[in-house]
Amino acid sequence: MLLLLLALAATGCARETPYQWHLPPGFPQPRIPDDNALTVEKIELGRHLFYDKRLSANGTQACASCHQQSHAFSEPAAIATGSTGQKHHRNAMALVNVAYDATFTWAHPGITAIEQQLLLPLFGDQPVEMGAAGHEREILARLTDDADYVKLFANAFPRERERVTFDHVAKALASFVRTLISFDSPFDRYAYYGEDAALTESQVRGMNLFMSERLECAHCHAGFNFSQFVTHQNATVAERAFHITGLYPSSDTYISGADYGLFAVTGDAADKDRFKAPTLRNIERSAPYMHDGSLATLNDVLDFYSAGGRVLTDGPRPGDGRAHPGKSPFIKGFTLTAQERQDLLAFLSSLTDEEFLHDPRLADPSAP
Amino acid sequence: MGLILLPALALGIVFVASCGSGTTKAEVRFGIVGGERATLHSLQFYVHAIELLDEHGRPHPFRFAVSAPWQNEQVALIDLAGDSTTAQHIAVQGSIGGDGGAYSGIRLTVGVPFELNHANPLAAAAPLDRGEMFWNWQSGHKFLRADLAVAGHEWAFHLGSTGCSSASALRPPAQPCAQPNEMQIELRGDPLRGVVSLRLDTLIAAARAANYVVCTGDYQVDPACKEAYAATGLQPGIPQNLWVLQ
Repeated sequence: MLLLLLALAATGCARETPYQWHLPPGFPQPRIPDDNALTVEKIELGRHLFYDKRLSANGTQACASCHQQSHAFSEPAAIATGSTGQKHHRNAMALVNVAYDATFTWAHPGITAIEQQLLLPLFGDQPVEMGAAGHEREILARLTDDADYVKLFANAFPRERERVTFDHVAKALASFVRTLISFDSPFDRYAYYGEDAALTESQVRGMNLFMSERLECAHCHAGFNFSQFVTHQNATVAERAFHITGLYPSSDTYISGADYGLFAVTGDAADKDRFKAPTLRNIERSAPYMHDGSLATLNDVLDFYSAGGRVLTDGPRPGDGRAHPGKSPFIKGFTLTAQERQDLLAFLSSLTDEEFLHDPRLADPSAP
Repeated sequence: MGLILLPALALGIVFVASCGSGTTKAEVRFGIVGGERATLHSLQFYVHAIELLDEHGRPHPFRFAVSAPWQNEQVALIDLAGDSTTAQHIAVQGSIGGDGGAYSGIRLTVGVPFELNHANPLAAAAPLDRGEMFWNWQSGHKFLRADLAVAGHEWAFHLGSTGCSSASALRPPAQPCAQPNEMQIELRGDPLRGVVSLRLDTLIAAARAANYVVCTGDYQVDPACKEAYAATGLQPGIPQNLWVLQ
């Protein structure tokens, strides 16, 4: 008994402080993996790592290089560029409420945890992003040589003998990314706090249009995260549905270099050009849009959906995306008056959460 | 004369999706209907107010078992298109006071009672917490959601209340909607020996008639809804053609 008490006392000196969520009333909490309990100490370590360029092999790029807070943790570039200068074929996704995401990346049904996802930018070589593959020891040595990191790892993983590992790097990064929570936009004040005055009349009209069967936006940008890919503690089923929007024409032949989305994972021809409907939270700040950043502004996006797709006359995949046979039946086109367009844009801007975009707790810890 | 209390029997009302005359397995995902390949992406609906009719035609209320995540004491969600990644639920579990004798029919409502239909699904008790079955506070839940592809054409029929009046899409109506669109179904036969079947062939015919334009509202005026809405039995004078007891 005495031994047991001593053992408890020995582990008790390390503080693992459970994270307290700040969510709107009645909101369910995100699901947290059993093997990565969310603690304040892990989040703090993860925050340092997220902003640290030493995590890339050549020391030139951090997670935050492509996931910038002022852009809702995305970047204002059509496609991302890795640490070695290699171009990614996709737009850096905004990291907003990803703690609730059921699957990660633009089109992958099998990546269901942030801990899994972040191994792609860290270690992936098609394309190289952080370029850590083959440089693991070197990168860990940089962290081990830094007394601040030794302390941060010790606080975050006090029970582990070996603390500075990539498993812990991934767990800490995932923990920080889970705290990128945005529920304080004017829309949230209206929807979830019941504040009628939080939205302007134009924003309310735009919201009604967004939710209407005429426009069908809310069929895919559904629910509290404006995405069909959410799960949470009370959810019985993780929702997910990948859609063809008509951004590109269908192609029977395989065009080298083309991004066929879900098809690359499943190999099912019916999955060609299927992508995830991403969240629209803070969408005004996360331009450009679509999986390849090929639409520059929200006005372009409204043009695209009102036309029911896009016609391309040049480029590697010319043709009529509107006629893609697998296109979502909800993308059928619509006509907007000038006022309606203004209202819709006003509504989309009501999803901007300034608190989130400027929260110092989510910012670079080394910033002055 | 003493009152005799009969024990309640635990029962299940089983639902299936059927293609034409033959009944497929509940987990049907790929069916050949009318010579064409149909793929079912989603086939879900809410059921409440079930009554079994005895041989004299007298109704006996079916008491819902509380069994999260699929049913509470008032409403059950039936999902006939679950696959390996999503669960499915094909039977309403419950009980009925009585002697377990033969029944001659069943009454049920496909829908969600108004007082439960317009609340925040995030805060609602299962099974009304399923986001993909919710439109918004004003319109409430989709009572029936069918998303399918027929011969490569995607189509959807989502049925729920229309004509709901409130300050915005995000505010619930205080009064019942002008068109509640709850389907009240009465079927002949013994529901404990048979299964309640949702006719895919009717849905597929409606998809073709709509030229694969989705029907998700404006049921009475949208030409894409003409055949699907007629099959619901919600139009006066036209009997429903979606449900059979097999």
